Amino acid sequence: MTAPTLTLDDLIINHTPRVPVAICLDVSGSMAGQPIAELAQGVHTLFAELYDNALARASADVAVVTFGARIDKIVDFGPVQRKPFVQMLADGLTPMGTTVNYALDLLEARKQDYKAAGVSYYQPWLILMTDGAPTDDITAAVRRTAAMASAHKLLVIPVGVGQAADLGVLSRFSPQQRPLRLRGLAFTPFFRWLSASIERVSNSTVGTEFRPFDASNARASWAL
Amino acid sequence: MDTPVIARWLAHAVEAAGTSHLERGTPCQDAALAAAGPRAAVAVLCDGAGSAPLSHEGARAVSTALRAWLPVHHRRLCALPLPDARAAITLEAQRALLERAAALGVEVRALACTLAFASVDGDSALVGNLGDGVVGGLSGGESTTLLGPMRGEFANETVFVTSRHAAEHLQLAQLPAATVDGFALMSDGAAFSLVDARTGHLARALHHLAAWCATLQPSDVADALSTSLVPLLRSRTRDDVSVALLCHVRLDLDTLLTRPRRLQQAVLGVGSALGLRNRLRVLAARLAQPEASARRVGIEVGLSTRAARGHLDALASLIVPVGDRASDVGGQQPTVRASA
Repeated sequence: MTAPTLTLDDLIINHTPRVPVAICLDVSGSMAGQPIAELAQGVHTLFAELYDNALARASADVAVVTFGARIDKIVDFGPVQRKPFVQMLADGLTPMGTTVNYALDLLEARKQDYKAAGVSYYQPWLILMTDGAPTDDITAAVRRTAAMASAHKLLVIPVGVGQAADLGVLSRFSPQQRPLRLRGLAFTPFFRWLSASIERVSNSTVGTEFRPFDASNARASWAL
Repeated sequence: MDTPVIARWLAHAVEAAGTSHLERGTPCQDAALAAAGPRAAVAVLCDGAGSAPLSHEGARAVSTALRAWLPVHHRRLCALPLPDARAAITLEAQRALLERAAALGVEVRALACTLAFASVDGDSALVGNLGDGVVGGLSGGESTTLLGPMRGEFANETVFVTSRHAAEHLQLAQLPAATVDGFALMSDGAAFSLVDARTGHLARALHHLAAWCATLQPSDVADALSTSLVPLLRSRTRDDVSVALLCHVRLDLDTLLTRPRRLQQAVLGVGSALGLRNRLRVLAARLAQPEASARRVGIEVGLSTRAARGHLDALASLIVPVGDRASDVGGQQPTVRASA
């Protein structure tokens, strides 16, 4: 007699653990022109690459917030779309503190959604990308991110764009990961790297110490 | 059912590397061992930490050590207050890691692994779980998670045998063996598709496998685990996927005679076809005349008194008299009386 067989119907479908990612993008007036176009292209690359990887698509839970004249959540958490509607208009100042607080609130609310639905999740990520310096009070936001990062409750990835980006300010948000400066307008390589990093963490096993912000790795593709 | 039954624990285990390890050519970090006798059984499953370079060595060391140690110390552990039993078990697991680390010349944390186990001796069962594995129980067609995964807030956090205060994190429970038809130990990779994260119910696949333990020859159950279940589990995760099963098979003689010969041999504990034939004849004689002497049984079945006594001694631990069967208390859900 041959061994009996089991089928997929005999298994249970559980939710794939999620990687919540909040991406805060500076779209202040100084980003006008080629930078904002390259940034939009990079965001599209991120979602396309996440979508094309089955595991990353199932795990990634990405929201995109832009800050400039307004603070807009241009992509909300939810299933990854291959080409979400992304509209960016470079204008206004750099309300970084308010934006980071808003993103942290989004991440916290998303974690509550997971808990309510019985979905497990990885450490949330906050990506903060700017070409300048904050024009609002960042004290509370810095305190929140620094405390969460120190307690390993948040992974902060700070990125400066252009020489005017104040890496000193960015480093205050991220006491453990030094900010890196984008090589030129290499937004697309950055977001490609980000997609691969999300895929790697969603593929990591228990006990794995995951370090997405490997400076040498980043310098090989997008960082100075 | 008003006839005696023949009861025995049967054990199966499969440890399988996940696709991520297969692609990189790295070893499976899980180790799963199981063994069973007429009235006792033990299964141990360890999952090496992804961050520990030699965690597969740790998983092997702990599972091998506990596989040998638990049956010897089962009764003593059951008599201990739970905190003391947790400490004793954790200490034994850590001792195994320390010895292996010394032999390899590495720090013990390089061997970090989780630990899940089930041990049965007579009417008592002891289950433990330290880490993100799952210990499930099957009973009367129902199933439940007895000891679930211990995770931190995030999905890739858990505790290991090497963790600080590991003994305090070890979930441990005693329960009457009679309330359980089987135990299933799963690494987290396997549990992803075998345990409902919301309800704790076990997948139908485990019910099928438990049922097959009582109907198919053991090699077919082993094949079903390795060639059917494992590929399905691998299609859902890139993690290692390992499972250990302990199943309490209870069959009356008429039903046993309808089963494959290899299953009859496994249940009755005989290795040869001739041995099986003689043991079945002695069994039939014993059931027909429970008080008959070995000499009388030997005469009836055409064996020497010595040979008949050997078979009767072996059968003594297998035959469950009417009114003393585990199934008489079946229908109860296995309940965990205490845990960490």
